[in-house]
Amino acid sequence: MLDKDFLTSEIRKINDPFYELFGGWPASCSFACLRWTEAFYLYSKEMLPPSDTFLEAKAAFLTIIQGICSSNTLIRSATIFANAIMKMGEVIAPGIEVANPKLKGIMPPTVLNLIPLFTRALNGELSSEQFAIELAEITDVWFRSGTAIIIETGVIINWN
Amino acid sequence: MDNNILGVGGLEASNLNAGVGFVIIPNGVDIKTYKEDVYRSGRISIYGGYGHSNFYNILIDSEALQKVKFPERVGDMGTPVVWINIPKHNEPIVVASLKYDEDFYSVSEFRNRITRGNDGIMTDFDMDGKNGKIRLNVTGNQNKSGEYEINVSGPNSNSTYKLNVDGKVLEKSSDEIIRLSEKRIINVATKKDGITAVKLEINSEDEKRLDYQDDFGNSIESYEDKLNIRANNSSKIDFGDGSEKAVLGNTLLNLLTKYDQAFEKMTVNTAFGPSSTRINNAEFLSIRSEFETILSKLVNLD
Repeated sequence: MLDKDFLTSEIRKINDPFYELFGGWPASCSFACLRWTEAFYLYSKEMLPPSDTFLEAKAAFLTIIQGICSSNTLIRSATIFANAIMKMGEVIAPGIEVANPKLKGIMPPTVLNLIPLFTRALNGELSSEQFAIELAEITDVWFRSGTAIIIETGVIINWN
Repeated sequence: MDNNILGVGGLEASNLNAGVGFVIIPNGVDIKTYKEDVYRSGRISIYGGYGHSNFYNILIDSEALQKVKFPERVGDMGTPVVWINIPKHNEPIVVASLKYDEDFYSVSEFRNRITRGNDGIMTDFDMDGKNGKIRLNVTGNQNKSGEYEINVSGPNSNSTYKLNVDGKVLEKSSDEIIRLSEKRIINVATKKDGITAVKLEINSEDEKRLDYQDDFGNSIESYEDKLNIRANNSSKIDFGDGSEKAVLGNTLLNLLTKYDQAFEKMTVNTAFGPSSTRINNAEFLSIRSEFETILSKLVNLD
């Protein structure tokens, strides 16, 4: 199942030097992207209903998020990050039917906007921990808005 | 010589050797012109006193001439005077003046006083041997202000005016006090052993216009191109209460430049790896180019 607290912890391992499980600052941007990708992959792969495309979703996330390394504005960085999460959801959705032909996966319908969160963080309004908590919360809410339709009955269940 | 001074014929003196008379204004003279002639010639006209006639244009002792007062008009009498007649020449000479009734200054034993005045103007030299005081008083009136002038001169412009006082010198003025020198004014304070403790000199000829030096090693010197203030032994110069230290401009400029050069290279750790260096570097460099404006063009320290 999706676990918001798990995602929070994984994020804090990357961004919060006061976290007891902090893994150290990434030595490079590309290595940081690998760690971010791993964190969101580990979170998303526990999703129900399961998908057959979690690894592809992970690769898609990585491809997009690496664009941050050449970004020099906050808005662009926040947009890239949101796009990476949404791409992950987009790739996971069709894999639900592959894993279970009785279901049809639909990615979350809303557009993720991380600009306000990133702005508050850069302005010093959030601690590293608070940033991790809010990012995990926004991601988790968005993921849980994804759905799967039971083809036979038309019943809709949320990703969880 | 006596004859030239006293005349040959002489004047009638009623065969008396001396008397007490009074200063008068002769008839038919312009009073102002007459008075000027008296002081110029040393000859005066007097009423000879009881039993005598008037004596015109007789010699008067120069000291007595300084003290006489003329009457206001013809017919009145001025200062009483003592005259003597030199028999050989039979011409009276005024040898002394007596106290005039209208003189109100006090004279006493051990005191010598000379007072001259007119129409509210007065000059008064008072030597008080009893109290050890000399006063020189000068008073003006509505039309003429009082003035006291001392002139000391010589052909080589090397005259000296000395004032020696075993005690205080007090100058007091209700208006300005102006000291003017065409070369230099020096003020010095020494210790009891005569060694100079502080000297203040202003001059118009040397390269220094103002030169202050004291035995603490402090100095203030004014040159054409700078004003120099030093505190050699004192080790500091305070402006106001001196609670804050002054800043060394060149040192600050160097430190600020080094600081910004280091800041220019700075990166920080982030969750996406080391940051870049500052993005708005051009803006910082623009500010750095203005650092030199913090240096004063007027004041130098240390």
